[in-house]
Amino acid sequence: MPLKFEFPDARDWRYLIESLQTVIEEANFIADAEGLRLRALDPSRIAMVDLYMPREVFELYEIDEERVRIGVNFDDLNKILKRAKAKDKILFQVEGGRLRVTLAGKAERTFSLPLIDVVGEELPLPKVTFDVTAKMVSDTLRDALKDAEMISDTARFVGEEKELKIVAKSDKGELEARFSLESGSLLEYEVKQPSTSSYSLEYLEDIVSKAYRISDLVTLEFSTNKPLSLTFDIAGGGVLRYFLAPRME
Amino acid sequence: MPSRVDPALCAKCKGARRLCGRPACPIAMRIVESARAAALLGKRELQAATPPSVLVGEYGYPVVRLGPVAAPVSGEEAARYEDYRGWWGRLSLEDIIALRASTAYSRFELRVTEARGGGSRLLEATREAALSVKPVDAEFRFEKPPAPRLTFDGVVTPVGLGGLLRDMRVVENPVVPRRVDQIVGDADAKARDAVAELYRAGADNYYITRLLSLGMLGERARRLVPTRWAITAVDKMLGDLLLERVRGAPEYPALEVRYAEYLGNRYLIVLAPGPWAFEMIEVWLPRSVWVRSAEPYVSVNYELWDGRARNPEADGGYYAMRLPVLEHLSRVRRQATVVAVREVTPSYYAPVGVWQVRESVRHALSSPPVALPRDASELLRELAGRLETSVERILAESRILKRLVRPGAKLDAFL
Repeated sequence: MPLKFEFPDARDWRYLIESLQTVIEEANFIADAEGLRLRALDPSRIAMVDLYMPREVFELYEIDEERVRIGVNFDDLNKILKRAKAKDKILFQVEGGRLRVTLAGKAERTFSLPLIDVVGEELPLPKVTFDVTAKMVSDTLRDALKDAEMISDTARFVGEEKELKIVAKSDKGELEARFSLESGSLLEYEVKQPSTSSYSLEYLEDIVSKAYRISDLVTLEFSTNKPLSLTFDIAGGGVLRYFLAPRME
Repeated sequence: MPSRVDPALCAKCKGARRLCGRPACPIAMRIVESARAAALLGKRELQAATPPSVLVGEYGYPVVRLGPVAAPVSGEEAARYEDYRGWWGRLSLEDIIALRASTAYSRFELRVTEARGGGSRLLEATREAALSVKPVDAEFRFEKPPAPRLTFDGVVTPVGLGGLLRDMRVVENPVVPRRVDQIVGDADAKARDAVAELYRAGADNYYITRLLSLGMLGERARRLVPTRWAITAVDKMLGDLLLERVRGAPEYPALEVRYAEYLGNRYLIVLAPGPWAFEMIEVWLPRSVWVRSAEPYVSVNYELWDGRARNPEADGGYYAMRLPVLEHLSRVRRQATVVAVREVTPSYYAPVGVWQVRESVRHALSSPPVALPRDASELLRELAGRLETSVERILAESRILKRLVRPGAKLDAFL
């Protein structure tokens, strides 16, 4: 068997796949001796997702080849993952052009789906130096983005010396959400240079409303008119990271 | 007129859902009174043909009224009483209302699950007629002579008369394509697959809708489906089917604007290079049929690459615009980012069904482009020249059009 890995909670995988789905419908996971990766741009090339799951996060991780590509349609995979019960373990096996997914709880159920050919390009990460870095509770960010979405389809991120602001404006009204270390709404905050940049809420709200279930904390980084980076840490050393192109107003 | 009704409510309800709480839609009533004519009026027994046309009501679900719609003529001539493709561009609103005012909805009542058994004689006769691709002559016997019942809603085509059907007998052999018999007889295929099969075999959405609404497609648990729901379900299923193919195709080569106008509705379709995305912008101009205020009412829905409408209240109009767009893209083997604007003017005073939307968009897309804008500002000028609504107003409500004319940076610039 070229590849086999097991994860303690199947539902975490469902959340993970739903989070990837906010950017892309199908993509290749790449497995090697170090672990599992996935990097993809959405079709309109505005958002990128970058996932890394080192072998340590798995209960079992066996690979016979140098590199295994797992092309899947997330919708198909998710239909299976939705069948998972609380505390089901999940085992993935790749063999003979198929992905076998075993959900193990009280009973053991194995699904199998064909691997698909996804035309993937080798993508570098965006080259950006970030002037503003903030760490906060991911649910807090989700709430602020939901508020902003009622007003507009764009949110402006303003990194001032002591305060981070998320601003939305339209003829429907105006929203300003403020975060700081002082008020306790930020856990870490570093500003090399005050910065302002706008991003599409369509993507942002979608991403955060799924990915907040992956991690309680999110690290947010940006610079003036540069991409935004959102990092969600996965328990055990994995990282789910998004980049979002700025919107020029 | 007593208390004022919120115009946004009327635009949402379009006469069908009684959101204002009144027993009958006041707007629709006004139209009924101005259109009364009937060759079928006052007769308890009819020798008439159905084009064929059927109606399944939604009121009272899961016990619904349904039945064939009879035209006041016999033979081939009946076809023109429900001939959406043939009507387009030829018949005026008055022509259509006059034509439909003389048709009779010959209804009976069934529980939707009775689609399964073979128990209802009337259902069997209705199905026999509905399967035909040509008009079918039949004898109709009513409890009481059909009476006027003209009502209007945004999705279903109006019918002038209605009567409780006691007996129906098809007196002519219906013309049924052989492939259809096999598909209808297959109780192991899912409805979605049966719809796809019929479409591939050359059936159009109207024919498929008839069969679906009479519970003739799908697995064993077949049901009757109210016409309103069936129309939209078929538009959506066929659209989804075509989208699978379209999403793998290369992108549209250049920006294009297509246009059509019919029955006081303007349709402007923008096709742009890019991944599949579709936006519907529907503008009901002041004093158009469901809008009484002095402000236009704008409703927007859209989908991105995944093909799922973002506003869950997506209505019949959305899928009726999306299907012809996907038909076009599938024909030219391209994908595109598409914005479809519908502007409803006050001269569309009586809604005659969502077919009008679908056929108009089909026409817009089968006609040559009216403009090939070279950039965003040329596109905006084209929009401003063809629509009454201000471009600012449209952009303020839009998601995808806005992105086309004011694109954000792509990530590529930073890789």
